[in-house]
Amino acid sequence: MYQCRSCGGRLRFDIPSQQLKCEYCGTLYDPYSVEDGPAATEQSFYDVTVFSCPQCGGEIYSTDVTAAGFCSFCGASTILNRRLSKEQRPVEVIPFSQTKEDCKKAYSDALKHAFFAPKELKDETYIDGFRGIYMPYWVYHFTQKGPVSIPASVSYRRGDYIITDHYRLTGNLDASYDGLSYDASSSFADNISERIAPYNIFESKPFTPSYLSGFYADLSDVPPYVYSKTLKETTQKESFEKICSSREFGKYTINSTRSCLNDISQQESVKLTMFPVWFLSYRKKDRIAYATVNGQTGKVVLDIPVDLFKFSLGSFFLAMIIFVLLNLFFTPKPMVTLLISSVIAIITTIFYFIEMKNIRKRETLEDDKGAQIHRRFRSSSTHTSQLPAILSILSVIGAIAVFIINPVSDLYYYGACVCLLVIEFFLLLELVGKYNILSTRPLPQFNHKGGDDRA
Amino acid sequence: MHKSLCHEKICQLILLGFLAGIFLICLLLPLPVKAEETSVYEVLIEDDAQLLSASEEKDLRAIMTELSVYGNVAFKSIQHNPGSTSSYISNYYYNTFGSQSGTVFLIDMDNRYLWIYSDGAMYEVITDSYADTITDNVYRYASSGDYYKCASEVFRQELSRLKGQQISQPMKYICNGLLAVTLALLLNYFIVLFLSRSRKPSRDELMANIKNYCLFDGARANFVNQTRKYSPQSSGSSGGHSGGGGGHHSGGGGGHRF
Repeated sequence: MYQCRSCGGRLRFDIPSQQLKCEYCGTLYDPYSVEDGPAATEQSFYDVTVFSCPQCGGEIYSTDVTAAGFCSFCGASTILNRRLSKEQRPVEVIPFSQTKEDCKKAYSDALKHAFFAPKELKDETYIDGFRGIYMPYWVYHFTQKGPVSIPASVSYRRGDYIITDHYRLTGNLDASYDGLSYDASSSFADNISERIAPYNIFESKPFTPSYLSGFYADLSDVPPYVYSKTLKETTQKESFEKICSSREFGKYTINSTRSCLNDISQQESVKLTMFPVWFLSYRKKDRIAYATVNGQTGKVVLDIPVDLFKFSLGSFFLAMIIFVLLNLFFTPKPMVTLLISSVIAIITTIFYFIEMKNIRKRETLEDDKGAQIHRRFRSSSTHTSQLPAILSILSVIGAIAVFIINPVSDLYYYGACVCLLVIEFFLLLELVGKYNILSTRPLPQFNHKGGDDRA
Repeated sequence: MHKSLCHEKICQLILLGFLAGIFLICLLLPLPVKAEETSVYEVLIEDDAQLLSASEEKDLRAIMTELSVYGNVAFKSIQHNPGSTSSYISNYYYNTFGSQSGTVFLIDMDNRYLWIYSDGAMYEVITDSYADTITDNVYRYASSGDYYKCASEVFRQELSRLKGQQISQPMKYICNGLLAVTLALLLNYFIVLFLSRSRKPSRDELMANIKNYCLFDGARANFVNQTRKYSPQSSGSSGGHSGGGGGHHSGGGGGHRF
């Protein structure tokens, strides 16, 4: 904890002034002026207080010794365990530039159009729970320097022949990409960190622990090699596209991929940097939803579950309007009605399968390389039941059979139609349920200290 | 304060529902058509397929006469029709009644199709969708060979409609109701998907926020070799397409197989 030299009051990082500010007398200090001498900056570890949640095992740390009574990861209101520790000293930090008020406003604006969000998400007291957390990120520097040779061709027609001239495009590439980043914390889901990006690396500053004053920081527990390949490919794609679209090579058909840059691509360095994130969690039963706001740009990424009551009520009123419009402009001919119902059924079933695939990906952490390292796999069997989709497919097959047989009696058409629509009704409700699973997450189960999902 | 706001919202929702209900009822109430004081229109029965007995024809004519205060009325049955039922009936109508108000009910035994065709003031009430509804309601009689019952029900339902009464169409409301509910759920689901899922930044956005450069110099294209592939040019030619317009009919109708 940093103290004011004038009054002994507590110093906190003040976002508007980008200085440390005394809570009592308002004196401002340069964040680097409160360091314990140049020797401190040369150490690779620094002293912190680690707070761990007794329920989920999630850990955050701070340079302060006081902690709020709730866990950001699992949303539990509990007294966090506290211990002193030494953590790896980050190289750089992007300080918070969005205040809590900015963050709350950005969040409220983003939630304005979420008509079916649970009302608790819009509650002022709940929104006040936003917590400023510095997330550890690996910031990579990649280069591609050296000769490049790319096979290419130009084709044209001459009479009854297609003539192809083959070329080898050569040149010297000198490319550098410094600042591509990925989160280094397994507790921060990749699908959040990818969406909350980008952070402007030009605003990063050399790290000093005083920037953490008044905030928390997450632990880095994902090694940098995890994302190296992904980012290396990103830089190769960028360079390759630039070469291919250059004025000299624009007219050629390129017969190669970015992999031709493999030999000259190199990871120059990787450094641990702290990125600012405003973080809020919403817990309902055994699921949790996160609201995150980029502490530098104010970009909002939300898990927005749907309140089923609101959704049903909204759908009921919309159905009334559609019913009136249908009665005004549409007299259902049996065949047309069955055709429309079948199209709805096919669309719904496709979406159902997409959602199930996404759920499977989410629950097996396929989309979170950082968490994969710690093997926090969960059973997905309860959330990926295929029965409703199979029923829907069977009902579409039944509808197709009616189309083929083409009976004179309308009852067959109407019967198939009613059957289809009733199944679709339940499938759509299931689909909304699936959406809710995707827009929330299972309660975290961190390896740091154990914990229990059922706690 | 919070509770009263909740109540206010519930009241607003109930009110909205009530207004929507009233609107719905108003829309579904049919308006009667004004009848001519004396019957000036024609009643015609041409039973070429010999589907009705003499007494049935007499009874049918009585029902049709009631309709004739609104326009011309015809019953037509045919045994042979090489073309479509709809084109036959529209031609028949214009050859028989011209552009006057009227309605024709056709039983096409060749195509096994029932069709109602109306025009003028009658078509404003017996619209295409009502013609479909009426034929939907009566096709079972034709399927079972009771052509008199079929024709008499057609004219009775037309009369009810012209008098401003409702025609029973339960399947319309059941199907529209179910369609409305599923469409509403689907639309709301899409709204939720559209509004809630944030997108990943593009590569360009990522690159704009990092220190990067990409220089490529000494660019040269070195010729290696040439290959040839035999690919004869197509000598086919595409034909033109021309179409012609037909005469304009203002009437219409609908039908059903039996």
